[in-house]
Amino acid sequence: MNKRTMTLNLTEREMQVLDELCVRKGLNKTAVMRQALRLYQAVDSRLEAGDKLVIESDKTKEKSELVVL
Amino acid sequence: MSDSTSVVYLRNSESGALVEAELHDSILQRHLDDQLSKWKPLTTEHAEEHGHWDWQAKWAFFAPQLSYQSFALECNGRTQGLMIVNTIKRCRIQQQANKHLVYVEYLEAAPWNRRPIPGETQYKGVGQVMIAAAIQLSIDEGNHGRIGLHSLPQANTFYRDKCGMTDLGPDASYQNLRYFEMTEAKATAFMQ
Amino acid sequence: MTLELNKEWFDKRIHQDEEYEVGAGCPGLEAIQQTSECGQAEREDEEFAETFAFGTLIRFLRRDRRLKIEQLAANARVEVAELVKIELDPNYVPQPRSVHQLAAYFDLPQRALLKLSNVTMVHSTQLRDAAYRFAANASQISELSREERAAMTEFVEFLGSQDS
Repeated sequence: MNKRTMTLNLTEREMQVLDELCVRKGLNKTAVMRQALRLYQAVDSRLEAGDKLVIESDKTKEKSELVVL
Repeated sequence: MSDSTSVVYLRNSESGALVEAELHDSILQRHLDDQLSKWKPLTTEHAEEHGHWDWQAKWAFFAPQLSYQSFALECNGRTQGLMIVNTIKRCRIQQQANKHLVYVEYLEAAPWNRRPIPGETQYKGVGQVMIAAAIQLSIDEGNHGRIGLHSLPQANTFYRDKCGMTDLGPDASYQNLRYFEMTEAKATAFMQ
Repeated sequence: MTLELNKEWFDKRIHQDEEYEVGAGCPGLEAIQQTSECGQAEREDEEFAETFAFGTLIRFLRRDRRLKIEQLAANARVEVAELVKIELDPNYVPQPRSVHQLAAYFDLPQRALLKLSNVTMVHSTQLRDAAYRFAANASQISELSREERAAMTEFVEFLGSQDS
């Protein structure tokens, strides 16, 4: 697969969150960012089409809409 | 669409010899054409469960989405197997719960590889090659070989006994198909 | 991605006398909707290309006219919920009235659109092939690209030729 390289500028806080996600998911930074892009596309295509992203609490079964930009 | 190929082997069912085959890391139009012109008449004729599957339509939907990747296996100028995987799903086994895995959305072997068909060469090993591909992608993605899938009823034995995947039982939200997941340790063992 | 396994691996793993079925995946289509559930698959996979193309066509036409779903629903006098299902659910068979309303609003050929939406069970290979081509060219981006608009125009013209 052909790959392209880019430089990503993150704030310290953003980099900290990225580091935390890497540890929690056992992934490197590139893998986390690629996963984020896939999820963003998957969610965005549904939102563009008029869907809502809803989070359901496993315990209470309460549903709340997640507002995504 | 990228397309890297890997040299793999299938076993000729009649002669028993290993035969060189090509694994493509993307389904190409010629594979879809093959499925439509060569597989479909045979699956429809036998009213197989796979006969419902329409890879052209599936691929039209999945191809634009980054979450999905596909594989096609070619041998002797014919498409021998097709697979679409999802890379944003998560594990269900307790010890690896919520970690990412490569989930096999669809896997199908050519009809002549599922049962003998006069005039068609049967090859064994399509499942093993595709599972190895899913594991390798999982490793490349940083998921340590973790994969998951819902098996068709007739394929449960393959995933449980031949691949060593953990059987998590029937999944009510997937027409009661059994869900199988492979641990990192089993994936490592499978690839050795 | 490349798979680098030596020939011995295949020799060890693949046996001549093995008789394994290896199929995986939900025979139905709900999984395609990214809901992680395949639920009840009530319709044949083959109908999927048409309904997917129908929903995509309506979505394209709406976006091309810069209408929100609610605006199109009001203009074409179709329920918002129905319109959402038409655009998003490739398994959804719309109400014949809604197809008529949308055809009238977008000035599309009624009979061809009814076939495409699977309201009628009359299918043609030509229609299915055209639906495949159109669906394959449809991406998920919000602005219609030149290619998408060309695919949409070609598809609408084809539907016009099938309206008998």
